[in-house]
Amino acid sequence: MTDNISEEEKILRRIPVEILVLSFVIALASIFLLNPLTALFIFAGGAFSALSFIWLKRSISRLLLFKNGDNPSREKGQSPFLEKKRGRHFYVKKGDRHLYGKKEEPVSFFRGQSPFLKKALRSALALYGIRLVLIIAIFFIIIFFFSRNIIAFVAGFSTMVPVFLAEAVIGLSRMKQWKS
Amino acid sequence: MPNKLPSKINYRKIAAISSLGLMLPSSIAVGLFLGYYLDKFFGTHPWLLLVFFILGAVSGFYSLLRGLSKFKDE
Repeated sequence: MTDNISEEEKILRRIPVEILVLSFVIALASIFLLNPLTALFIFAGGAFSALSFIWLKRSISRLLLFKNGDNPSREKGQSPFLEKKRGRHFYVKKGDRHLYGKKEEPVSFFRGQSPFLKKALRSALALYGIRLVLIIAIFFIIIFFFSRNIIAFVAGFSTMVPVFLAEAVIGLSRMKQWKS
Repeated sequence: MPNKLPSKINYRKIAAISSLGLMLPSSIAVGLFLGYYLDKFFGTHPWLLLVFFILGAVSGFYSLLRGLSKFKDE
């Protein structure tokens, strides 16, 4: 079971790195083909895309923690969400302890319609909303001050698409090997 | 047959996160491209770019919310 999670985590951790590498390669090519400022914007877009993927992953992990966990407990030094999972025990960041009621006792939660899920969803959405505002603010700055380079930034921001496609192809090929 | 079978990966989770991750950037990108070229066509720089960017961001966030609620219900 832990192998499954580590494999998923490996893939999900690999994606932002691949986005960065791909945007760096495109930026490097555009230094010679276009101009250095465009290259910088492409790389910035890629970096921002990787960052937004990490944020989204964290928000979803937070949601999944509340959905799947049924015996959360806290131990010192265990962090962060879903990064370490042993059997059915989850270890939670200090700041999220309030969602579990008492500190040390393992509390059973998410049996049926739990208010914890709603709370978790709300907090995950709020965090992602704040990050979305940041994304919009950065786009606004680029639109007003560097409007000629907005397409370069968007191109970098969209490097996520080929990376996901590549990962899907790799995943499918592995599934085919596994079955044959 | 390979010597060691690869461990079974939960592709469902990866696919869900990937599709949710793609929703926002793709909507923003489509809005920006549309706005950029419409601005060029009508000479209204940068207003259509702004309008379409906001539309793209709002629609992306809306589809993300819908995706998350579907994800929550499954």
